[in-house]
Amino acid sequence: MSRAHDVRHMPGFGFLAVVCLLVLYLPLLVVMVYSFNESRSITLWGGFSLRWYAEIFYGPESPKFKTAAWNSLTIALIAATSATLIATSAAIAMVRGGSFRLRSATFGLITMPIMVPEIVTAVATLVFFSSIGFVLGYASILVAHIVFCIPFAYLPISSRLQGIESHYDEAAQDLYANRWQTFRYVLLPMLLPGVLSGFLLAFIISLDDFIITNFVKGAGVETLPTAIFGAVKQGIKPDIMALSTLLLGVSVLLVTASWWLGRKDSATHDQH
Amino acid sequence: MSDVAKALSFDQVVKDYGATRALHGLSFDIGEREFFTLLGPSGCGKTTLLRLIAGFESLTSGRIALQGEDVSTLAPAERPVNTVFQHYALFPHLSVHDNVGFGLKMLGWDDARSKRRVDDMLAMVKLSDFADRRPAQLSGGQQQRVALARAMAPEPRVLLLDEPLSALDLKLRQAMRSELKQLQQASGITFVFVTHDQEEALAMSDRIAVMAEGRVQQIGTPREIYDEPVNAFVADFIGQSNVLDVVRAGDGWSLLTSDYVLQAQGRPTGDAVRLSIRPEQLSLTVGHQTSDGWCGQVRHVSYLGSGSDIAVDIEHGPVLQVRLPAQDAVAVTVQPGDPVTVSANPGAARVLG
Amino acid sequence: MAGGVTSSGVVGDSFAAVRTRLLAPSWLVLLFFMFAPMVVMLIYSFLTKEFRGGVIWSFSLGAYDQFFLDRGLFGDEPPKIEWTYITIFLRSIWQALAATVLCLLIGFPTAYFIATRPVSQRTAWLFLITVPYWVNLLIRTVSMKFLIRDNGPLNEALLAIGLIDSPLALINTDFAVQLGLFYSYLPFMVLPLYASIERYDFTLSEAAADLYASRRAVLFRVVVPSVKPGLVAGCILVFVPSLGAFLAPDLLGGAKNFMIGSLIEEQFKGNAGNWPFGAAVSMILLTIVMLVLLVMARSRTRDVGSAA
Ligand SMILES: Nc1ncnc2c1ncn2[C@@H]1O[C@H](COP(=O)(O)OP(=O)(O)OP(=O)(O)O)[C@@H](O)[C@H]1O
Ligand SMILES: [Mg+2]
Repeated sequence: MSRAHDVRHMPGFGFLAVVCLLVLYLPLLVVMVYSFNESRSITLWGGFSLRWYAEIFYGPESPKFKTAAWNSLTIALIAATSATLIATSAAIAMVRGGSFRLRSATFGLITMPIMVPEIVTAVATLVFFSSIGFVLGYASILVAHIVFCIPFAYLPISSRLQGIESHYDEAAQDLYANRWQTFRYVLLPMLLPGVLSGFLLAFIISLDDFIITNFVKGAGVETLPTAIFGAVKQGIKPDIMALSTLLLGVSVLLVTASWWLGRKDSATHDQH
Repeated sequence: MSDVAKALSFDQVVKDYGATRALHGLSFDIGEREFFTLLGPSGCGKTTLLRLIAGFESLTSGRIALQGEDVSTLAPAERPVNTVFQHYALFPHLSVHDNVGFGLKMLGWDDARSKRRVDDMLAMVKLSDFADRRPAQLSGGQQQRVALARAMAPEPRVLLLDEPLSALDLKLRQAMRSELKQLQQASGITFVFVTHDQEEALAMSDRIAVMAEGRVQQIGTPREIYDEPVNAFVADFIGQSNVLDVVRAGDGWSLLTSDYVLQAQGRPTGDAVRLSIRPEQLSLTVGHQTSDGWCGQVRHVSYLGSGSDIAVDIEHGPVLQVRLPAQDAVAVTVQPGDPVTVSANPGAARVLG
Repeated sequence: MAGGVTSSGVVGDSFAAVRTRLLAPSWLVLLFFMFAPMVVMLIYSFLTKEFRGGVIWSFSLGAYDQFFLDRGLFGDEPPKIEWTYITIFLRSIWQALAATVLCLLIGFPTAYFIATRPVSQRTAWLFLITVPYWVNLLIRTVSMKFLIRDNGPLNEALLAIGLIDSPLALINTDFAVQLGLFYSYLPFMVLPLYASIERYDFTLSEAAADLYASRRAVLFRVVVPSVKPGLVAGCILVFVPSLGAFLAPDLLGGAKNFMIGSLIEEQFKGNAGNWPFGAAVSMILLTIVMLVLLVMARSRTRDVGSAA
């Protein structure tokens, strides 16, 4: 069919799609490029160099960044793991538990951290911690992160579980598996891609969070985003660009992994 | 049938889904080593009955016994019954070998014994070379055979099959029919087979239960069901049938509006009954002869290759379907509008209950 | 087992006990650390402020009074409507709306374009659209700030090729904030739209074209009405987080382009330090967002109802 007569084709839409990609990527690419700039100036190009990367790891500011990175990583790891465990068990009950009275209330509760604007959650968590005398610091950040990670882990896991027909459970029980064996040998392996992508989502969300962390971190404890924010307030310096580029790389890596999992998974599923 | 020979017996089995009653108190038995088919239109409760036997649903009331033992309240894993699911439900993350061995593993068979059994099963369904593949790497027919092997591996006393052939194409479906039948005879396992395809049911079964709207209409061998339908539903559902409202006329039966009298088999319950006559049991002559049959006009003719279906508008009576062989002289020449006479072959008409 | 089993239940089942155990962790965590904080926040908004942050536990309508009423510099004049905060809310709504429209203008054609690619290319496009979303929002906003600075790469490039004579003043404008919000939430628009358009049956377009509809008519009279659920979802997903955004206005908007997010943050982190007032503003924001969601949910059930 010639394009002129293809009713699907809308002139100019392709161009706008490219503009869309450009808008999405241009700022990131520019920052990436300038992170390799030799010059201290962020305006002029002074040749290729890795000095700002060295600066992050060995410069005078490096202890601060290292602590922040350590906090970010450990919080993300613990929060994502806990959220994934909580979300998986909730998803099994919600999807496989039949109908029960508190079902929609439970769903509302689980998705609440996504529905409520982040800044409101941040305020609420801060005043709550202060009202019960919970000292702000590493632990308070961790608890807040577990909470808002739950829906991000829950959604991919439950949608994966909904995709697993109940025939599989029945087949397992028909073949003499008890409830635990059904879960262990049939549901869990089939659910695993969903669990992994839920974990990765939660991990990235935790690693990225600024607003809530900023409210509940208390004095002295920083994560990478709050550290970067603090530094940016004094002006954008090249070492921040290098740090951003590193974080960007980590995110892209994780997203790619999660996509790859999802695709591999749907590939084995489509052939049914 | 003696008590020992009953594989399954149903006693007033009722199943409600909320306000709707899916099964209205079924009572019948299925014999040992029988190939038993549940046949009926969509929504008549075949799957429901199968799921009750397997234990995926609980009875509303009544009782199901397996070889004389009440299993009504046992969990699926506690019943020595296995299922071949309609879409197979093969575990996608397990190899063919592990799928077939799944039940044995759950039953705690030791590895060597279980491996031998799996190998035997795969040989039985001719899939020994495919043991290490994943289900997604098999064709529909192969998946079907894996499902069969998986369900038969734990040596169930009864095998339940819910439209196992419906996902296959026509050719494969016909090939699988005889294969299934052979497997059943070789293994000696009782098969309870669900289908809404009457041809499939007639070809494979020892006995058939025809169901409609949650009730069993008739149970019998394929021949009984076809030749001696007990009511209009069975007559029409199995093959095609002309159903006529007739009254007693001398020693036979006739339409109120016609003099033609015919004999009928079966036990009439009064002076007005319904008869069923198969289209291929009717013949056609050109012109009107009132005493030899029903007079009417040809309404339309459809050529079917192996024969012709001719609809005849009986004067002051119903429309009758007549099937004539392809080489029949009348079949070749009749045109819509032609006057014809329809008569029934001897022994063709049956009184319906 | 007398009739106590649900339709999906299995004979001998007692899933209720297991279900409770499976749900207990999420109930506990979320009730204690998500729901209870909302209640505490509501209570805080009715307490008296303490000057160095925190609250005094005595009931007060002060926070809401401060938000809505102007009683003069010394608090002794007859109350008039206080416009300062309402204006901030109105500006935030305006900014969020503008960002939503921007996202729609770019997002719809993009989603449509992707949905009309061959299946093999769609995955790649979707991947490219989603990757930036997973990059830290802070980093993305900082990158945008870096790009559109007065002497940043964008202005340098435009100057170099002679398109402009003096740098564009982009940073610290309303437009910069809209651009930042647009950049932050664009994937939220594209993805639901794509999901809708992908499910759209293009023979409808052909039928319309067959009945002499122009391309424009096909687009606006057939495609757009058919993908309305995706459109509405995309708009909500952009509008709601934009309304309470903090980073884009803070980093790109400068001091005079204040939005709700910054107003709230200032009550807890800045010098103003008025917790009850911050809690009250949060409650008002939450109320608005819930109203938007409720209206949308209503209109969706109405749509479904009339379609049936
Ligand atoms: N889980 C359920 N909840 C409510 N009603 C159900 C349920 N399962 C089946 N039914 C109803 O019970 C009746 C019998 O259904 P069943 O699935 O047994 O029919 P079937 O004979 O297997 O039909 P088909 O040939 O279409 O598979 C139908 O009216 C159906 O709507
Ligand atoms: Mg069925």
